[in-house]
Amino acid sequence: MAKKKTEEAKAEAMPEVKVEAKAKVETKTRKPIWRRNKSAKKDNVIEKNKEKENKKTKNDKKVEIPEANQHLDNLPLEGLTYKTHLTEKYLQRTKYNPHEPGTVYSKIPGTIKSIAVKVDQEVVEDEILCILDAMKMNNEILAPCAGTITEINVKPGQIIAKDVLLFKILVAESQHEIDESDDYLEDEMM
Amino acid sequence: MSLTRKRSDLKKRTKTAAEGGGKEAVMKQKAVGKMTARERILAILDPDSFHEYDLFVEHAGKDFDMDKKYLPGDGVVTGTGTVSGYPVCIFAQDFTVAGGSLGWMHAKKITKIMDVATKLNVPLIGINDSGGARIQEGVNALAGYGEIFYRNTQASGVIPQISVILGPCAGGAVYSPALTDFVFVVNKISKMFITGPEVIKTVLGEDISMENLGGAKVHSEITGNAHFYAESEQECFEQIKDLLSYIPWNNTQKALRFQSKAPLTKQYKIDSIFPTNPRQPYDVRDIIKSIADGSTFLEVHERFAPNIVVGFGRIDGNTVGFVANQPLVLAGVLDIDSSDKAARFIRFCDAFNIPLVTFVDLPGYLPGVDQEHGGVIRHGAKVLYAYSEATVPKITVILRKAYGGGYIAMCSHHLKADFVFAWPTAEIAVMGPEGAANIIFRSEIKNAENPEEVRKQKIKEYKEKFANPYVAAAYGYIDAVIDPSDTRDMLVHALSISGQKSVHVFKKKHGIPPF
Repeated sequence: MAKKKTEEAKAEAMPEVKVEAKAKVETKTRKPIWRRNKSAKKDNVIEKNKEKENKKTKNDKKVEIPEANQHLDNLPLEGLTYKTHLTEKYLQRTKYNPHEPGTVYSKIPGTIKSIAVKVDQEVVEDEILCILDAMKMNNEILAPCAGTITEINVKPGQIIAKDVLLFKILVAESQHEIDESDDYLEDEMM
Repeated sequence: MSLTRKRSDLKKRTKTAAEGGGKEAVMKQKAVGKMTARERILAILDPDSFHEYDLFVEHAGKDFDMDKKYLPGDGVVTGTGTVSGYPVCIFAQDFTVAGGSLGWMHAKKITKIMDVATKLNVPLIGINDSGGARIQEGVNALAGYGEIFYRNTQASGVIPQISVILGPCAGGAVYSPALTDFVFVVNKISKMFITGPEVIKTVLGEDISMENLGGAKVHSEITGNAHFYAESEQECFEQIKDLLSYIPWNNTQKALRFQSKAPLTKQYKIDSIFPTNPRQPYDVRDIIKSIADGSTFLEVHERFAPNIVVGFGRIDGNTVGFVANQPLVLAGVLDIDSSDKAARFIRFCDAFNIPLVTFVDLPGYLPGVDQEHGGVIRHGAKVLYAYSEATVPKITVILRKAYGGGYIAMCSHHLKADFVFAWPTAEIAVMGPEGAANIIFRSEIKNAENPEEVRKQKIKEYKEKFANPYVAAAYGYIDAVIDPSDTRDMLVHALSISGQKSVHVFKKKHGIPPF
């Protein structure tokens, strides 16, 4: 009950016009509509019903779009585009970003203790590249493949976050994997 | 000593212990807008119903000069009382006493009241407001946490457990709320995290405020750790009382029956809420309100994964758990978060004898690399597991779209729903008409002189033939195609005849749900 009251009070304090104007300026920080229309709906029920009646008399056949559904986003799914709202979490989802072969990224935040290789040095697979002090452990960062070091992006003593590019290795030729295509799957399925 | 003197001695002792951390500490607590532990308990419980125990417990710390310190009640208030006549066990950590830090005796008081709750079979309410483990007590503090977690797990599914976060709750302490059934948070007061901003700063050099790392909004919108969000402590307490009215005291009972109340059909009129065009959104909560008693609906996880709606309402006076796809957000798809949210709610309802009513209107699962790599397969499987496992009455109403895997997952007959009804607007098919026509008639479309026209023609054909409830009804997968305005009557009847439902369950220790 108290919640309803405060929401109503909030809705009163913030006239709708103001909310809409704000939404236009900074779309990302606007209050999600599935919450906004809830409070708006409750105190405007009577008004809204009146509005609906007016609309109906004006244009009976036209499909009504409720007031709350006016700023809609599109979501394409299986060849159809749905009118709906997108959540903040959905909009901020991480895009797929595969690492190139021969790159070494940090998988845990920590401090670089020492670096065991130099630029242009040849390394074999699983050779220690550096020691990363993280979570009270000296973690050995190993080469993912054989090749030649082309880039070292960190210094001893440096504090690094997760997913930071540490090394680049020019992959030795024999290491290139055969490019497997999954085109055949589509033919199989049909 | 005469009885009078003994009496005044008791009074004096009680007064000192009940003062908590003293005036200064209480002032500090008030300055940040927080109530004291005792005030909170009194605000939740019925007037004069609170009975406190273990007031004279003293802490067990010996090292670092702790033995010279006096910590009233060891920083936690425990007792029993009633909420709207409901018996409950309750504890509240007292931040004014050593920052509400958890030592061995503090934990012992909590585990004692937990044991009482499980013995008496009544709900447990825990108010968390603590700086964390009392470092001076070392491993004894850790032992205390462990004992609490063990009891949370043992009591899970036996008595309802409610956690209220009204202050910091950091490190290991967060796992007690995480193990309970419902977590309540209050804006600007609640803070939950495993590693705080300071640790993150020293390890990563990243600056983040407590609020942005683990504030009430973060947990109610992004992580889903919190089920109820309030703007003030008072509002939060009202939510707790509201929730308790919907749920039973323990797993052997049913929730209290209330007077049956007709829904407000003038405000929530299905005909004006519900668009028949499957691409047009609407607020499915209005459909729930058009059917529930008095149009009241208590939404759980309102802000988290809003593409599915879960919560409690009543039909004919009895509590039901509603699960409904929400076309207003992300077209109502199932994804990692919404699957997680629904599965957990279904399991709560099943454990506490609350029948499930499911409203289906979803286009399927959300596509995306983030979803696939995030494990939508194993998270999505939770919904299948929870519905299949549930033995409470399960009634499903298909409103519009029920395509593909989504149709199966949303409590279809195949997962042993007791009754599946469909509105005439329902479209039950292996996938949406556009996608299906493109695959089935792929070669015909490809080889046609005018592919676009053929495609449209084929989509139309498919729509006419399959985008309806009658194909599924012909196989008996739908029990009845009903007029939307009859939905409440159908539900009232279906629920009233399902009261004695019994299901054979294989003898097993426990299943292995896709956690």
